[in-house]
Amino acid sequence: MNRIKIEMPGEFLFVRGVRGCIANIAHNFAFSDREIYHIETIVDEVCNNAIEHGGKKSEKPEENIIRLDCVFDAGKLELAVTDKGGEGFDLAEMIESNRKLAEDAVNFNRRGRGLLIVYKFVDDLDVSTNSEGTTVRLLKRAKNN
Amino acid sequence: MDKKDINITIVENEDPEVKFIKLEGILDALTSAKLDKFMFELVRKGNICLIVDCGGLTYVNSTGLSSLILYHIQMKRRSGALKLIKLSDVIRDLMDVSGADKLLKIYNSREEAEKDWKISK
Repeated sequence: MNRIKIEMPGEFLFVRGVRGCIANIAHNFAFSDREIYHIETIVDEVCNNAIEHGGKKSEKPEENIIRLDCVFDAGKLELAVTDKGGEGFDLAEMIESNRKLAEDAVNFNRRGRGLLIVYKFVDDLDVSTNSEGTTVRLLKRAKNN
Repeated sequence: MDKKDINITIVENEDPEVKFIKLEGILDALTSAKLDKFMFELVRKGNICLIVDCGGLTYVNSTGLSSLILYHIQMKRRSGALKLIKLSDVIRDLMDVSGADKLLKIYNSREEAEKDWKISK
């Protein structure tokens, strides 16, 4: 099994390196250049979401950890991103609200497009919450595999 | 140019009402503030057309997209316009799935964008 686990501080500063790392690895698993760009975007948006909405932040930065668990196979990436937030969210409700928000020029909001992009770029998406935090699980498949 | 940053260049133009801006590099959570700072003054002037050449952008995420939408809305409110040109296929994908293509004005060339500005005046 081609499994990679990454722990990163919940700071935007680290997201660029992590998304680049996963996108680089994806080059070896039959994804097209376009799909690799999608993978980089997915990792970026899910991590940014975890940083922004990851629940109550600890006063100790070392405790605001985001965990990424990636399993690569030929033309397939399974990714789980867990943050310490315990509140979670209803995925379908959130997608619908983001969809309305994204095309509303009158009530413009800078937030909300990230999850919509992730939803459209993946083949499966799920969110769960337990005592450990909130986990976003997703599946991305290469189209020609 | 620093490949991890965003490079913003304003290109001289004969028509003072049309500003031509070239973006290169990465437009994400770490660089959008730099673009915000640059655009603030231009947007405040209003009544001008900003043509933004995105051909040099290597990566854009939802934060960067939201910045572009915000300038577009602000320009429109001030009788101006923001027009994007030379978008790569992957950035067009992003615009499409996020609904940004329904809000932003996208053109194939600078000439096309300028022509549309003149017609709309």
